[in-house]
Amino acid sequence: MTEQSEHSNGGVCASSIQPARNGGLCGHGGVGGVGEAEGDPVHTQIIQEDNPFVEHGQSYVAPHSGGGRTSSGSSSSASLQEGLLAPPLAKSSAGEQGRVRILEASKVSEGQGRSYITYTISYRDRVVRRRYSEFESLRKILIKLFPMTLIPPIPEKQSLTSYGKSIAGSNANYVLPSEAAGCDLAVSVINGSVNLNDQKMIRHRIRMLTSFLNRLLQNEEVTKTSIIGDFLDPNNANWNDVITTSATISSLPKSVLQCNPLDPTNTTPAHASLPIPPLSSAPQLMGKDGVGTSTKPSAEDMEFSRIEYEYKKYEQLLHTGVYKYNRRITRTMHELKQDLADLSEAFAEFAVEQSKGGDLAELLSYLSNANDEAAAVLDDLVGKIYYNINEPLSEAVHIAGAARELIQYRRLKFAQRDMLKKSLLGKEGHLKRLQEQEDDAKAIDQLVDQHLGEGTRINLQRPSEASPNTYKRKLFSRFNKLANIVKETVTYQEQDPKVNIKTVQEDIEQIKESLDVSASDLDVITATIRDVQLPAFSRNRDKELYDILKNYSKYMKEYAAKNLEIWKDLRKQEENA
Amino acid sequence: MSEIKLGDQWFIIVSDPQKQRGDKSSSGSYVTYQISSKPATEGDKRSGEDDITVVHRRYSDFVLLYQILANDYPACIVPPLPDKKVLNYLDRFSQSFTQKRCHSLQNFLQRLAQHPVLSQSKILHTFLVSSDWDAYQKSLAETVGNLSNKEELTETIMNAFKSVHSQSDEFVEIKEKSGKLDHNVSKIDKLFHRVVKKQEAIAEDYGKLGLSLRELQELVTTGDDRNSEVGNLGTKIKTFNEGMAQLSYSLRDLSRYIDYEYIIDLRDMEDYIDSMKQLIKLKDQKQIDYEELSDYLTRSINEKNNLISGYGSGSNFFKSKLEEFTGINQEAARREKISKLESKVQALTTEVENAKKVADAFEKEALKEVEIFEQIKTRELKRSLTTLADHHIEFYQKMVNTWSKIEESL
Repeated sequence: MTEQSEHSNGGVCASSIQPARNGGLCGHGGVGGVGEAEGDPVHTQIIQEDNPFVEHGQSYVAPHSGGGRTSSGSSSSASLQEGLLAPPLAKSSAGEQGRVRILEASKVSEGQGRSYITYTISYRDRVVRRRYSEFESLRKILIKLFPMTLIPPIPEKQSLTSYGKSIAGSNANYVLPSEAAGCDLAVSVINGSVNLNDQKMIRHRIRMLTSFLNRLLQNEEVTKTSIIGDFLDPNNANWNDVITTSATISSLPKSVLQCNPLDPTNTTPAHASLPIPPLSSAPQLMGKDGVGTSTKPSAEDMEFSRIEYEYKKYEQLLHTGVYKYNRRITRTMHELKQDLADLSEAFAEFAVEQSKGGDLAELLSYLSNANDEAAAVLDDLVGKIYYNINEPLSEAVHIAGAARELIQYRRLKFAQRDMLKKSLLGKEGHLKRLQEQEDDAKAIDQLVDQHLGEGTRINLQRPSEASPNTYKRKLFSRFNKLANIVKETVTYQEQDPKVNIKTVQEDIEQIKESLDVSASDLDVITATIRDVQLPAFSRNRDKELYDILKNYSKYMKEYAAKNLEIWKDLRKQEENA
Repeated sequence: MSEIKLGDQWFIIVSDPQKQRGDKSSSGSYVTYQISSKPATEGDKRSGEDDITVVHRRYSDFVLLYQILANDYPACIVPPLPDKKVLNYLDRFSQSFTQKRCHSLQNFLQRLAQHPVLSQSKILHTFLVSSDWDAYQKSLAETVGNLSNKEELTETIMNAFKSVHSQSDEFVEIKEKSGKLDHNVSKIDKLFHRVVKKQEAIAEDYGKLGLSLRELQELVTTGDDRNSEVGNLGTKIKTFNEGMAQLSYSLRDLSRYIDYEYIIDLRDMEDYIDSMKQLIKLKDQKQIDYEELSDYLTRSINEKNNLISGYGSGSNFFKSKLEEFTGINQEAARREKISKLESKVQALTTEVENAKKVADAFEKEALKEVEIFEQIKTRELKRSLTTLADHHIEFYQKMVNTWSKIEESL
């Protein structure tokens, strides 16, 4: 098992990747003890209650039950953090109990230089390990199981290095702000030797994955089923096995567009055979290409076009606007902090050199102190903004992306219905033509009969004798056939009119059936997304953005107040001197 | 130490740089600076704003003032002017350039006004108050012509590769100190330059962040009117954004102050240190003059003594043999030489005495000047640090007010 093997590899003291002030990691014995207790992959890495992790710069692990209590009670910013992660319920103690924590991330070697990270998840009193790809698979399944529900995002799949680069920007020296600033992420340990960029990305993932699970646990629809419980169940050591052995999961269609939105576990044949519009298709207004389509953009569709546009705009503004600039500001501030520290040093040196200068020397050393304090205050601000503003903003961007996915799903379902409508129209037109031909043929037959009488033989060639084909086709499942029919609406080869008519009539019946399903699904989907999901998203978003703004204001005020105090003190000391 | 007292601080403010169209004769435009000044009244109450004299001067007027002072007071540290060279890529009339120069010119005048000797000079008073400066300037024109190469002259003297033999401990210390001061000030100057650059970048990004937030606000507001528990998010964003705008604006202000005034104070200090070093070099030069002369004197005396005692030096032995051989009366020649040397030694002795007097006097002056410099420097550093603190207090006070209000109304 991977868990076993990693203990020899992964349980390395990770002090090298910890910021200096968390250097107590090694000495603490918690992580160092990992290797000793091999047989028990789980509890060895949990540092128990003698770890007052808050006082130790909050380096690492939250004991499963005590962790939540300690952190929520210990510092205001920690509890504040929880408020951000999971808005309304989190504050109640019941909510706290039912929350997921990621205790640690461990690097696991697969041999041949390949390795991956497992995340040790604690939920209630159980602990389970999952890797990123398992989260990814869970989310894919959830999207199919709850096609009309906004499934929270997971961090995008990026290689470790590219993520580190992308958040570090061009400046390779950018390090994470000190975590002693009362930020939440410090409660997780990272095991195994990973470089600094990897560490950033792992922390980002820890945060996003924790939030992913906690958001799911608050979703009543999702928690009605057992899937999250299964995911968090340590008995299911191998998630892949769970997927492959579960009848429900393996019966899910490949595409979410063929899922039955009302009961995804019951994929009806009608659903399974729905055509799949290309992803890029149907940019909003289907009726535009108007090939005999009766579908004009209804008010509803117009509304959805607008909604989709707005969500895109929102996501983009948040991502390339608010988030981007804020991140850059944080980065510049982080560099500025170094300048302030340098200034402190320079003023100290100056003060020593002017030591004969009486009060000037004193003033200079006050300034040295002031800059030193200012650097510390700035560091604190950078930490808070980084963890409690930037990260939630980045999460908000991802959630907006998930909401857009949902709208896109509705658009594709709409495109799907439109495809069916078009095929139906085509088929009906075709049928009409065939019937006319048939009528003509009958009329000709009659004429021939009248004029030439019974005895005469006429070789009236029927257009086609391709009937074997027709029979063969009938052996196919009619629903598989439907997919083909839809595709080849126009390219139809001549056949025996009677057979043709029959085939087309059958086709029309099938299309009608699918169209019924599709149309009624679309109605439900539209209503659910528009009236339930998006409003819920908006409420949540408003709350979360509001929290971000409120926290931001608070940090700014506190930052300014601390600095004001520093400079006022300086002025006072100077006047006394 | 306490024997030197700085002049009472005059009230001098240089402000309001104004671009002027040059009249048809002169070449192009120039900038005038407004100088408001009020002489320090001896302890008494100032009699209100009426005493304030306002004149307008341009940079070349300052240069003239500087040259005259440098010529009239060679033993004084005349505070330096900001660079007259304007880098090509700088706009001579840009606000950033004229504001900085304006502040620098003010530092120059304030230094003059504090200097116990220079502050009493007639030319400074004329410069500060005379409404007829132009005429005065013309009357000086001829004199000035002679002055102008004084700087180059000193430059060549300075370039002498000689150093003083016996440096007094006092000056060793002064030199060491000024070197350190220079090092510290320029280090702090550079650091603040970095701080300004970063603060400007941050202020700009706050501005951009504000724009994004405004768009977001519009987007959120045009959306459905939801009755969310938070109230209208659009309004919240708007409130928050006002804080961002204010922050961006006042951070830029703070940076501008640091850039236009504080850093200029530091740079001016570096220049002032240079002027002080120049004076010490000049003093060294005087001492070198003296030392060379007394070396020469010593050598002449030695030579004379050698002749008297009859011991020619090694090189002289062959010479005297040769002279003997050619029949020159050795004794007569020797006497003649001795008497020549005697008169030379006499002349040199007076010269050495004079040089010693000059060097000593100069050294005394230099010490006084260094002391004045020290006092002005300390006063200036304290003042600019205090102003720095005040600007920060103002900035953070505003920030506290703004964000407290925002936090409340959110």
